[in-house]
Amino acid sequence: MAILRDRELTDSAAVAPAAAGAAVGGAQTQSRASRRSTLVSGLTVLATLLVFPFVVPSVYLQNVITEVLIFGIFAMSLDLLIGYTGLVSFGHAAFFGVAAYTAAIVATRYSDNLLATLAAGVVAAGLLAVPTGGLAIRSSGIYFLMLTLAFSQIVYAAAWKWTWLTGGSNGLAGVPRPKFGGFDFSSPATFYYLVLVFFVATFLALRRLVSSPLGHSFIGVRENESRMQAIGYDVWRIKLASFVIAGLFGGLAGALFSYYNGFVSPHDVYWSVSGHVMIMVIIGGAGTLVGPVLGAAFFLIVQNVVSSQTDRWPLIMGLAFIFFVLAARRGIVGMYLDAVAVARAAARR
Amino acid sequence: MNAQILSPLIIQILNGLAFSMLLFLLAAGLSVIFGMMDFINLAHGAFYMLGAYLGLTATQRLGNFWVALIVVPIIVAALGFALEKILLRPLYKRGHLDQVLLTFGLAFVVTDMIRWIWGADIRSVPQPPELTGAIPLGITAYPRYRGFVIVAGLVLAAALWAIQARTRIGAVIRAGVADKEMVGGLGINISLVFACVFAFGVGLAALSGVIAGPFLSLAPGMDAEQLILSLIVVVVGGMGTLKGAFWGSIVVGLADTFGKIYVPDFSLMVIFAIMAAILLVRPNGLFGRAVT
Amino acid sequence: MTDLLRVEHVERHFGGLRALNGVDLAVATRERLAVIGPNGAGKTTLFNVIAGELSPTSGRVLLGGEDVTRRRPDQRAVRGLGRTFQKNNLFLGLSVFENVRLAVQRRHGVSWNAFSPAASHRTVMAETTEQLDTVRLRDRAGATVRELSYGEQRQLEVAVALACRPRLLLLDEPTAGMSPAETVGMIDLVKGLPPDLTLLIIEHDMDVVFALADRIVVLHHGEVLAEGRPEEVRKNPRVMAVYLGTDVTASGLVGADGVKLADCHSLADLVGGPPIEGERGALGP
Repeated sequence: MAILRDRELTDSAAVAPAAAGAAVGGAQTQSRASRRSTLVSGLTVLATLLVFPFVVPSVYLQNVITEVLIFGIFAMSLDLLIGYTGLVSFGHAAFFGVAAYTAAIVATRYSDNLLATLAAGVVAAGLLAVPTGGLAIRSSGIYFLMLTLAFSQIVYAAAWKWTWLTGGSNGLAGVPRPKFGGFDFSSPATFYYLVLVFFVATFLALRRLVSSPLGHSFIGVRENESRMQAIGYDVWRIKLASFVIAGLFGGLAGALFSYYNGFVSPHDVYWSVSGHVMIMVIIGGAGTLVGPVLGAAFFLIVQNVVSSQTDRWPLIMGLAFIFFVLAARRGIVGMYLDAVAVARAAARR
Repeated sequence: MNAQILSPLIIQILNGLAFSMLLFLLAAGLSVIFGMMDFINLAHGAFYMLGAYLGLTATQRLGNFWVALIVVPIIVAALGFALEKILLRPLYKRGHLDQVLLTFGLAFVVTDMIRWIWGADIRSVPQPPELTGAIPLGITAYPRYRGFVIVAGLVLAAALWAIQARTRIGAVIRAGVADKEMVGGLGINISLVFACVFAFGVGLAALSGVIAGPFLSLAPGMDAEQLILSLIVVVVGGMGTLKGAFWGSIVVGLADTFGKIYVPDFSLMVIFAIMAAILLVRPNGLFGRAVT
Repeated sequence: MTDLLRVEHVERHFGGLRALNGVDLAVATRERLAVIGPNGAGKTTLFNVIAGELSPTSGRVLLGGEDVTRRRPDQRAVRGLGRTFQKNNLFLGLSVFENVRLAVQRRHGVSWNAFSPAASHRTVMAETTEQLDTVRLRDRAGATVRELSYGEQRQLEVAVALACRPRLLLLDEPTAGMSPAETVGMIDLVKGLPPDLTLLIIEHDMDVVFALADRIVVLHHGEVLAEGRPEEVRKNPRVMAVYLGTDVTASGLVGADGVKLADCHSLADLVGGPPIEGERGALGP
């Protein structure tokens, strides 16, 4: 997976020397070979995902991978905040949930058109992100964490209490799979492809973003806010941009989830959902785009396996998470890179 | 005003205060840990829950609530001491975010172990026989146990204040909150102080849990609910101050109680709105110092 | 000649302490002004008020004739004020190149571009390389800040500030903690800056101050004690009294035991302080 190597400006000291090795003079001019191997591995992964429903006819597995892709989008969007901008949000489920509800309401009451439901959901998430982000980023550190948690719990309370709109504790059932033109995404395989399209688009868009000047501004804020101010950046606006973009992509994941699940309930906005997606980001590797996706895959696949055997999933997940925090803070991606570095050093000797 | 209007009001105020006192014990622990160690213990609700369930078992097995009230917080504090040494100690050199994340993982582990041991049914702790019945209050009467909660909370608040203001340990903790390097410079074993503070904080959470047992019911999810409220308390009151934890608890406890009566559909929102409003005016809470 | 920076009767109180007590200061375009003073004189507070990190209790700060007293630091930076920090304040996890590029891309107004790779902005890339050349860090472009020596980090500190092409550059103790050799290098670097760049320097090391400044302002107890050309200030008896107590040696600003003024944080240092090298060693990274 050479795709992991292609990370500019995103990693802390431990990885950076290797990345910077080839970069004298124009720090980001990657060698052509590295670029090609990134492309090859990216295309390999894409090809695997494309043929997956043909090779694996199991509806169950197709659904699991669909869910992984949806939560992959969700986790990548949170990582834009945590890993790139250095804003540890504990309320990212708010955007996921609001978009899920909005898409579900539009789909059940007005139209099951893909664009209408999706746009409604994403716009709703963005509209929520502007004021809540604007307020939350006035604070930093633990207060930011608390305020984002508080805002998401307000959304939770609204979902619970505004029965006329949200169905209250019953939630909204019977959310149809969307339609677009003549297409109907109701079979697991077609829906899988729909999600895959959005997943790939999100990955490419965020990859472009984090390598763009704006993405570098996010990283600058993560690394050193006061210096960013001193060289003329309006840090508040940069943070808000990051918050809103993260909210929009979180909303995309939420809207897709409402079609996938066919059902939206207050649980989807609850703080535990924010916690789970944060666990995915940390387990996979914050500050990378591949990491959160791997984290989502690890989390959901292990959850599926473990839950079929025992009720003790939260215990096992908690222990796994503690292990990653204590012993592998840079996540699965970091473990992979460390292993590669060790292998290279051994080969050289 | 006549007694018909007044007595329900008095009862609700007292209910709010009783709930405030439970929150205060929780928030005081959270706040002292934050003040000393600079991180938020997201497993605090789990230790509260553990206190409540251990209190249930101790009361049933020993047949005596009062023994449980003493023994359980000590057991949980010892557990906290060990966990600090084993799990949190290795993270000192890293950022505080890692400590927060670790306690988040710990919360899943502890609450799921509780569910494993005690099951998921709603449980309740019998009230100690001395505290059943009601206290006459002239125009009305009030449940004796809740009265005990209020009095116990106030006594503990006073005791905590006295420890903080009058004892050497309190002085060390106050100094540590203000300037950690200074404490190290005084030749005090700072890592022992950290372990003790963490143990003390989670011990208070467990104490809150034992007291809550005969008053609220025990069920999975009680940890998260109470953790979020006590987080709001410390944010509203200001991190790292006992005074902030106290007045923050009063504000949140009363807002929660009255919110549930007058605007039941929006009670959670009322609390969050109060918190957001206070933070907008005073970004470090009512009595808080600036957080860097 | 117009003043690029004017500080008008600035006061700043911290509780009961008056860190700045009515400071007036003017820096003319192309001038190189140094602010000196014993520890606690209010130099850092003044610097922070000028840069916008602190707002003054009263008084005004004007940059190029515009009142910027209520402007945030980034707004002042956009208006042509650049600064370095006394303690290195860099993007630690990023490479030298990336540190400078963040400043360059801001000035080119492309920071909000989210759709094209940063490496495709050729003018930004070229100017970043050029900027690294001027501070002699080009061959370290790919190294992360953590990998740099302390002296190199100080150079980068200046490079990042310069990359904003400021009209006025505030240098906060540019040689703090440097070895004598590194100090000489830094003096050369600052001397070699474009002549149309206006400089305001805070510095402890008198050799540095006399090598770089056209004019010196001495701050004491939050007030301007003296100002003038270096040789005037050097001879000013009030300045010598402040620095050396009554025990002034006629030879100027060098203490009787040869300890340089720059290394004295108090009179006690002069009397029984450690040797200079030892002290620098303690300050080093």
